[in-house]
Amino acid sequence: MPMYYFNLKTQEGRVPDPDGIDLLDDARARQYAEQVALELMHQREIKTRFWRIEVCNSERTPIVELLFANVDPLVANLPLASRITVEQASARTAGLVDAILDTRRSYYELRATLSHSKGKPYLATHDGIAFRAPVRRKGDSRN
Amino acid sequence: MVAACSTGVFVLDYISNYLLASLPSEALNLLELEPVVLPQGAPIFEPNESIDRIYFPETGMISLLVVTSEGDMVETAIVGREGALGIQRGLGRRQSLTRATVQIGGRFLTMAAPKFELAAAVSAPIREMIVWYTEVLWGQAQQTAACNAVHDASSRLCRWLLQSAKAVGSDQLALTQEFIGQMLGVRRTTVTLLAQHLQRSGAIRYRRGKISILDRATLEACACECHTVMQNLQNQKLAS
Repeated sequence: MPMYYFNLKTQEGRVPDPDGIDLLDDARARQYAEQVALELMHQREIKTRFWRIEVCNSERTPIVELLFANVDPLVANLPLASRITVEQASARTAGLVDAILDTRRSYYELRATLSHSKGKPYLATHDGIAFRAPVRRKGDSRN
Repeated sequence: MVAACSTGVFVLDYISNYLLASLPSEALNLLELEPVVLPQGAPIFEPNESIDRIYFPETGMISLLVVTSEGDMVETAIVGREGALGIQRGLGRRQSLTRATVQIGGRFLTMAAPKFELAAAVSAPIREMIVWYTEVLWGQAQQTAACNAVHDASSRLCRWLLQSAKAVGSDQLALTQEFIGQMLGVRRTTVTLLAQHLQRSGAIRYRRGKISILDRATLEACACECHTVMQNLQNQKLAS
C-alpha cells in the first residue's frame, strides 16, 4: 500500500507529518484527511475553520488540500447562503495566511542574502526552514 | 524503592507510592508487598475479572479502559504512584469494572488480594485509604468523561501528558502515537500533528515513542481546566 503524509497548515505555518501512514489509494487518503480534520477541529471549530490539511503522496508531493470549513459539520448545517459565505471567508483567510507566511519567508531570504553580501553570518528559522548566510573564510573569493 | 535483605524477604526502605507513604508504619507493616517490574502493554485485569492482586505503582502507570463491542477503547482513569489498582478488593470480593493495562512500564508493589483484605479488616487507616482513593478515582473518571465530551483534542493531549508525568514522577514519557491516539480516541496522524504543533511552541520534545516535557508552564496553559481539577482532587485527599 502506498504511503501518504498529512501536513497541517495553520496561521503559524506548516506542521509536518514526518511519519505518514499506509493507505489503499488517493480516495482513502482524502477520507482519512477528513477524519483527521474533524478530530483536530472538534470543540474549536470557529478557531480552526481556515486550517488546512495538505495530503501528500509517497514522494511527499501535495495531491490535495482540504479546508477545514469544507468538512465542518456545523458549517454544513448552515443555510446555503451562509454556508457559502463562511466557506469563502475561510478560503480567503487561508490565502491571506499563505501570503503572510510567504512574505516572511522572502524577508528572511533577503536578510540572509544581504548578510552574505556583507560577509556577515546570518541564521534564522521560519516555518521549519533554515535561512543562513555562510561565513566567509579568509582568502575565499566567492561571492 | 525496595531492597532485598539477607533473609530473601523484601523490605521497604523508601516508598515512592504516595498512598503507601500516607499510611502509618504499623499499618504499612501489615502489608506483604512484593516488587514487580511490568512492561508497557502488560494486561492486568479484563472487565468482570476477579481482582486477585492489588498493584501500587512506583514508577509505572496503569490505564483503566472501557472496551466497546467494536473493540475500541476509551480511557476513563489512570493510576500512577498517587494510587493503587484493585484497592477496593480490601473491602471484600470484587470484580474489575474495566480493562486495566500497563501503559508506562515500570516498578510496582503488589500484594495478594486475600492478604490485603485481612490487613484491611484489622486496620482502620488501610480502610480509610481504600475509601478515599476510591473517591479520588471516581472523581477522576467523572472529570475524564466530561473532558472527553467537551474539550478539544489539543487541550486533552496537554492535560493527559501532565497527568501522566505526575503519575510516573518523570517528564520523560515512553509513549507511542498509537497508544496516545487510543487514549484520546483520535487517529495516529492527529496525535502526530498535535504533538508537532506543541513541539513548535517549545512545550515538549517529540520523537517516535518518546515525549519529553520541556516547558511545563506552556503545557499547563494549553491544557484544559480538568488538569487542575484532578490535581486538586488528589491534593485535597492526600492532605486530609
